[in-house]
Order: sequence, then C-alpha cells, then structure tokens
Amino acid sequence: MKRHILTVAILSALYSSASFAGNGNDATVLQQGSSNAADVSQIGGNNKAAVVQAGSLTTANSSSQSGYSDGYWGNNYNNGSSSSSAFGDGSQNAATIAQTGSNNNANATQLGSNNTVNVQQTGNNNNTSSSSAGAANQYSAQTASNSSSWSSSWYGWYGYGSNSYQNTSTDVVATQSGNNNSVSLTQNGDGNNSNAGQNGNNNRVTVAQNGNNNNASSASAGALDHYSNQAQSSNSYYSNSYYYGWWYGYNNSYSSYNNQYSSTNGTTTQSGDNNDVSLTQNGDGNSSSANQNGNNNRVSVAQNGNGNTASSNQQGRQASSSFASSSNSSGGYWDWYSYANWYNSSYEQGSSQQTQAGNNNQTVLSQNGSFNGVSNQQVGNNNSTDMTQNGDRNAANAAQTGDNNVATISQTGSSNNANSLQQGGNNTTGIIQNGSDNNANVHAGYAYTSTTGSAGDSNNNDLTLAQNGFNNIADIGSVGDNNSASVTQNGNGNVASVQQQ
Amino acid sequence: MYFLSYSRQTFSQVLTLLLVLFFFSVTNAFAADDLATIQQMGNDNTAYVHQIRSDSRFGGREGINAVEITQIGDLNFTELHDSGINHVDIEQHGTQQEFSALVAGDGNDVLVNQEGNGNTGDMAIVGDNNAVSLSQSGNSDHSDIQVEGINNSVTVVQTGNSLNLGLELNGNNQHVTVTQQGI
Repeated sequence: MKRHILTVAILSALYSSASFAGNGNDATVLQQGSSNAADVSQIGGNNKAAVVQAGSLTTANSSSQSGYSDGYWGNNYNNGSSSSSAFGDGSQNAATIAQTGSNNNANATQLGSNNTVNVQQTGNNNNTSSSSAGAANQYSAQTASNSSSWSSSWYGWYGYGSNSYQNTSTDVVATQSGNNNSVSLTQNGDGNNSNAGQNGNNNRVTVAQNGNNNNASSASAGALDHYSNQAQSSNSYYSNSYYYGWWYGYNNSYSSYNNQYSSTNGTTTQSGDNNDVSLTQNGDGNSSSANQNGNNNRVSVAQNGNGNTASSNQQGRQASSSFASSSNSSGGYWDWYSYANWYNSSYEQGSSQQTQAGNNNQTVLSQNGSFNGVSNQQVGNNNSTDMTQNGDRNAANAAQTGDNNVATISQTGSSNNANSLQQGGNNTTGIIQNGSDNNANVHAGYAYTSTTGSAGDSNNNDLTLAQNGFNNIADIGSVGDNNSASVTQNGNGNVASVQQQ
Repeated sequence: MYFLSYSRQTFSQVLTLLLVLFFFSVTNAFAADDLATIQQMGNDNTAYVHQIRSDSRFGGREGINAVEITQIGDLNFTELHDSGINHVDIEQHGTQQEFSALVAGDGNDVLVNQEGNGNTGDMAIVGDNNAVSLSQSGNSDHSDIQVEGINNSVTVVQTGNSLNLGLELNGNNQHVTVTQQGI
C-alpha cells in the first residue's frame, strides 16, 4: 500500500491546491491570513483531509471521490466571511466544517451511504446547506449552532432512497441559539429522523418528509415575540408512516403579567396511514394546526397559557384527536381564551377528545361518517362547545362545570347518542337530532360520573332538545331552581322524559 | 270531494296546532321555578315528566313547577308525577290518547284537554286548594279522577258519545262541576 502524508502550511498565500490518489492518505492544509483559498481532492479510501484557515474571506473546498471510510474528510475551518464546501461520493465518510465569525457559508454534499456531516457555526449571518443522497442504510447526522442574534440560517437536508422499499435512514439534528434563525429540512425516503431545537426569538422551522416511517421533532423556546412556524410533513406513501412533531413555545410567566405577547405557530400536514402528531405549546398567543389525510392517524395537542388557538383536520378512518388546555396561572386574575376547531371526516371509528380548563374557551367539533365519537370537557366559566356529527352510530359527549356555559350538539343520522352534563348556573344546552333510533340525554346538576346523584344545585339553566324522526329517546334532568327543560319531537314512537327536582 | 275533505281535515289540524301554540304562548308566562315543556307531533309517542318540589311542611326545596305537554297524533301516552305547587297543562289531540297524572301539593292548577275518540285519562290530586279542569271531546272517552284534600274544585266537560267518567273526592269544601254533552 502506498501511503502519502502531506502537510502544507502556507502563510499569506492566495491559493493552495492539492490532489491525492490512493488509499490511506492524510492531507492537512493550514492557512493564516485573509482571502486565502484551498482545494483538496482525494481519490481513494481511508483518506483524511483537514483544511484550517485562520482568517477572513477564505475559501476551502474538499472533495473525496470513490472514497470510503474517510475519517476527517472535509475538516474545514474558517473564520469570518468565508465559505467552506465538502463533497464526497463514497460511503462511510465523515465531513466536519467549523466556522466562527460572521457571514460564513458552509456546504456539504454526500453521495453514498453511512456518511456523517457535522457543521458547527458560531456567529451571525451564517448559512449552512447540505445534501445527502444514499440508498440502503444511508445515514447522515448534522448539527449547527448559531449562537448570536441576527439572521443565522440553516438550510437543507436531503436523504433520498432511490428504492423506496429499501430502508433509507437519515438523521438530522439542528440546534440554533439566537434570534431570527430558520431551519429548513427536507427528507425523502423511509425511516428518516429529524430534530430541530431553537432557543431565541423570531425563529422558524420547516420540515418536509416524504416517505414512510419518518420521525420529526422540534423544540423551540423563546420569550417576547417569539414566533416559530414549525413542521410540514407529508408522508404520502403507503402504510406505516409515522410522524412525530413536538412544539414547545415557552413564554415566561412574567411576560404575561407585563402584557407581553408570545406567539408560536405550529402547522403539521400528513398524508398517509398510521401517522402521529403530538403538539405541546406553553405560553400565550400560540396557535397550532394539524391536518391529516389517511387512516389510523392521531393528533394530540396540549396548550398551556392564554389566548391560544388549536385546529385539527382529519380525514380518514379510525382517526383520533385529542386536545387539552390548561392555565398555569396561579391565583389572582387570569383569563383564558382558546379556540379549538376539530374537523374529523372519518368514515368509521374516529374519536376526538378535548379538555379545557379556564374561562372563555370555545371548542368546535365536527365529524362526518359513522362509528365516530367525540368528547369535550370544559371546566370554568363562559365556555362553549359546539359538536356536529353527520352519520350513523355516532356518540357526542359534552361535560361542563362552571357558569354561563353553552353546549350545542347537532347529529344527523340514525342510532346516534348525544349526552350533555352541566354543573353550575346560567348554562344552556341545545341538542338537535335528525334521524331515527337516536338517544339524547341532558342533565344539569347531576353527579359527574352518573345521572343519579346530585352534585349540588344548578340554577337558571336552559335545556332544550329537539328530535326529528322515529323511535327517538329524549331525557332531560335537572337539580336546582329556575331550570327550564324543553323537548320537541316530530315523528312516531318517540319517548320524552323530563325530571326536575 | 276528497280534496275538500282533505283540505278541511288539513285546515282543522293546522288550526288546532295554531290554537295550541297560541295557548302555550299564553301559559308560558308562568313564573315557575322549574319549567318542563314537551311537544310531540306523531303517533305512538310517550312523554314522562317528573318534577319534585316540596313546600314548607315537608321540607325540601320550595317553589313552583310548571309543565306543558302537547301531543298531536294517535296512540300517544303521557305520564306525569309532580309534587309542590304545580301548573300542569296537558294537551292531547288525536285518537286513543292516554294520560296518567299524579299531582301532590297545595294550590295546584291542573288543566287537561283531550280531543279525539277513544281517549282515556287517569288523574290523582292530593292536597288542598287545587283547581282541576278536564275537557274531553270525542266518542268513547274515559276518565278517572281522584281528589283528596280540602277546598278543591273539579270541572269536567265531556262532549261525545259513549263517555265514561269516574270521579272520587275525599275531603271538605269540594266543588265539582260535570258536564256531559252528546254530539
């Protein structure tokens, strides 16, 4: 075996170029000064190349052709207003780019399998892009750190499996600290993973995954005016697509008190089966949107704070969604406004469950299809829930504890079941069922877990139930004073029952 | 001829509905603590109402109940159990309708109106100072009324043929007026 070890140290040189052919070669280029350029080309396997440029306005290019197991291939170092690129078309290669200062550019391109890219950027206005293309068992890991405060950006991961039935895996890790940062991720193929972490304000993350068994997660933490638009994922192929997205927009508790405003937007889009979306948002003024088109999909959203908005749109069978919100305010005055709009176009066996704690919450739920279930629980005052189900054998359950709450349930179809349970005063329930063999139950002041015991007086409630069709059953019960119960039934074989005490 | 008969029947049903709605628009003015309203349009329908409210003698929550039940169609059934001070209004329009009412308390106001043939009613009133009014219009109607207490008044008007009325009152100062008129 022929082995070359060459170290080139150049002081204040404008250009350095080295080309090596063979296996087991090591190349190190050291440049001190500004406006330097270095090109290193290695052909063969088990090669290592390092370019260290101490200065600004430098350019380093490293390439590995037909290489494999190249350890420190593309180990470039720049310092300010510099660019560094690494290119390889082999397998088991590792590329490392480290840049300090501002206005740097880094680019890594890898064609092959089992490669690794590591980019470290410390400074402002840095930009990184990388692309990797590999077949079976392709692996690429990338990290970036932009720790300052202006317009740092990270762009581009591309793991592509030429044969979608092969197991293509790309792992991407992006970490940014600072403000006005952005992360853009694209992964094509199967079994890919991405993780983006941002710490700062006005940051953005966009993830696109096309394929099956992919996994994406992101976490962002920002204070005032934090904005994060994270995640678009499309798993458009066949079964066993998996997506996981996590949003964390944190607004420290003092900002709410000082009327500061924190907003985090999360958007997730998934096409395919067996997908999961999990969203967590902490802070005020956050919004999230999840869209799924396929079967066996799941959406879970948790929001803690005030003025948050969540929406979900699911189309397919056996889809489920859940929404939970709570207020982390303790004592004193706190106000909460949340709006959740859930649309579930399930043909069968879809379920949606929402839980809201606080005041002035609104929930809108809509399901089309059969064998669907929807459940909403609200604890607080001035809350409202609106449920609409079109189809047969659906179930809707609304539970509200507090005052001045409104529950509305509308069902069209047969063999549907609607239940409303309210505890408190000045509440209103309206249920309308169009179809046959439906069952509706409205109770105010009853024990929470049953319809027999009393949970205390519930006064001034207005309970209304309308059924159009045959063989319907309506039941209204209330415990307290000044309650009103109204049942209207049009059709034959209907039964209406009212109990007031 | 059929058209005229059909139109006359339809007009009669619409008029009946309008009268019922007008009636309820008046009686809805009850200042009740609890109000139950059931309206059923069709056949073979069943309405159950159970209102519990006591006066000072028996403890419990005091107050006034009001119940308004309207059934338009045939073979409908109403069952009512009320306690306290109650305003009861039951309207049944159709044939072979049936109601059963148990009202316990003082100062109750009970109004039942059945229009059609073959209607039946069973009513029990327990308490004082109650006012009961039953009106049945049709053939083969049947009613049984039991009243226990003092200072109660009962008014029954039956219009039709083959009518049957059973009336039993236990107590003092009862006032009963029964009118049966053939068609």
